Amino acid sequence: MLRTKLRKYSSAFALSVIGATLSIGAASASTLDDLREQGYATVAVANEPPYSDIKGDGYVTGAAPDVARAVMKKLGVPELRAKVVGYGAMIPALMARRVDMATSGLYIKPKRCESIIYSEPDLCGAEAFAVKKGNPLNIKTYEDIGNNKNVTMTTCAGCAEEAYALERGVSADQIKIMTDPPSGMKMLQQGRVDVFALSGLGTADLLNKLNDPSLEIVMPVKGVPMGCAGAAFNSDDTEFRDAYDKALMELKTSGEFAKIVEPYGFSAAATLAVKRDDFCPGN
Amino acid sequence: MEEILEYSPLLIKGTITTIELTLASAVLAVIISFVVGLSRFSRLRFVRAAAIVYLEFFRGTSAIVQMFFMFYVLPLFGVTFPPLLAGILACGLNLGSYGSEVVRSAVESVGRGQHEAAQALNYSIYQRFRYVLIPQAVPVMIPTFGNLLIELLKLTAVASLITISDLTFMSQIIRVQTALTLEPFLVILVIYFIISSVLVWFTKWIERKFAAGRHTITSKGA
Repeated sequence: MLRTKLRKYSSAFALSVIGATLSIGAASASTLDDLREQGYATVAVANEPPYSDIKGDGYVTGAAPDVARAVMKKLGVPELRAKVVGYGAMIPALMARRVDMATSGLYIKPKRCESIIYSEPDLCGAEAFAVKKGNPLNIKTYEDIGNNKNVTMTTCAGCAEEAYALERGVSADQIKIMTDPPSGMKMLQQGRVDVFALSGLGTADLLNKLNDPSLEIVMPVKGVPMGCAGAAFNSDDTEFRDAYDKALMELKTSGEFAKIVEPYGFSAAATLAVKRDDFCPGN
Repeated sequence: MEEILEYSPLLIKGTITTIELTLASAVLAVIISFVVGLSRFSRLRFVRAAAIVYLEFFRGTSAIVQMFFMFYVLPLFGVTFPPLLAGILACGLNLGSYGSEVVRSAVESVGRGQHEAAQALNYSIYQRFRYVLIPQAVPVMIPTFGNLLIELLKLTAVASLITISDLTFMSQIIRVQTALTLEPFLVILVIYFIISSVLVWFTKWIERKFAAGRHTITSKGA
């Protein structure tokens, strides 16, 4: 029988089924020193203009990466290597040390502070909805969506907007998760959802690019806090985070900060008015 | 369309990554297919059991979950693969499970008489497989492997979820940057189709090669 004859031949092979090279991730005492030595930091950014902007040649810019680049330069790390990661995968990427930090509109939220640590806020903005022209369902707040169970909305997976909606009476089956903002807008254009919810500047940027006269923006959405984002770090990197905070503070006081973020439409004054402790005391 | 052309460096980079990922995982998948497929014939129970556990695990769980696990969960246990390697491993291990069944069934499809004749000639186990069974089984495997290769090309799109900048990933970046949907998808649709056409052509070529070899073997009686 074949089954019995093959034993030597196959067992030799079978023992070598997986022979992969493993590199054991070493948790280092000082991440910042390592970054200075290697000369670059790996940064997770989301694909959401104007928080982040990716040029045709692959260069990553946008408000959040530009702020991070300026801060890291002050800290002696000349180069920023950006990795585009979805919002839902940013915290896993930090925890797994796939990236050294994450920036680009990851709002500071108590739930997230349980897993990661944040810098002081670097970008703040109001929330917005996109709806059909004339706002036929008269949607101005998340409560309006919650009160009319026939209304459906879309936002990104794991985004702050999803939590805002659920906390304000919108039921889970009213929310259709979009894979990315343009897909969400397509759903709105095609009538698959009634409301598109995202950061104000992100929504405005997208509507501007689409240039579709059948859509309009509702901004700001009342009853939700202004969304403030900061650079996010692995929870072991408090030393790195504190150094980052100090350098960010210098940028803010010198006025360089305003010069970076205002061309993208962000208000420096709104950001200067808030502190991390307003969102996550003791983070 | 002009806006898409502005992003052509990204698309070229993405195409290269997709091809790299496909070829590297194909090599891994073929090796695994043979190792695991042939292990199913072992007399040692633990070898057969290990092969079946591997097969059922990687065939029976979602490729997306495997990919996330490899990339985001393993580092928590101290094992950190670089993104491309994690993608190659996930795609290769996933496709290898299907491939092992192809190898197993192809070897089983070789007539009983061939097994017995080789044994009657006092061939060693190695000789039996090397000169009799595998040469006859390979032509049977090739069309199915060709199918799996194209399946693999499409599976690589899932790797865009673990920060690998493949073609699908690049199209998502272009979509967000330009808010266009039809054009970026149309472009990558065409690119995927061209790559898969080359793979089909390659499979046909291999098929012809092995068909010729098979003929020689029968005529020489080896």
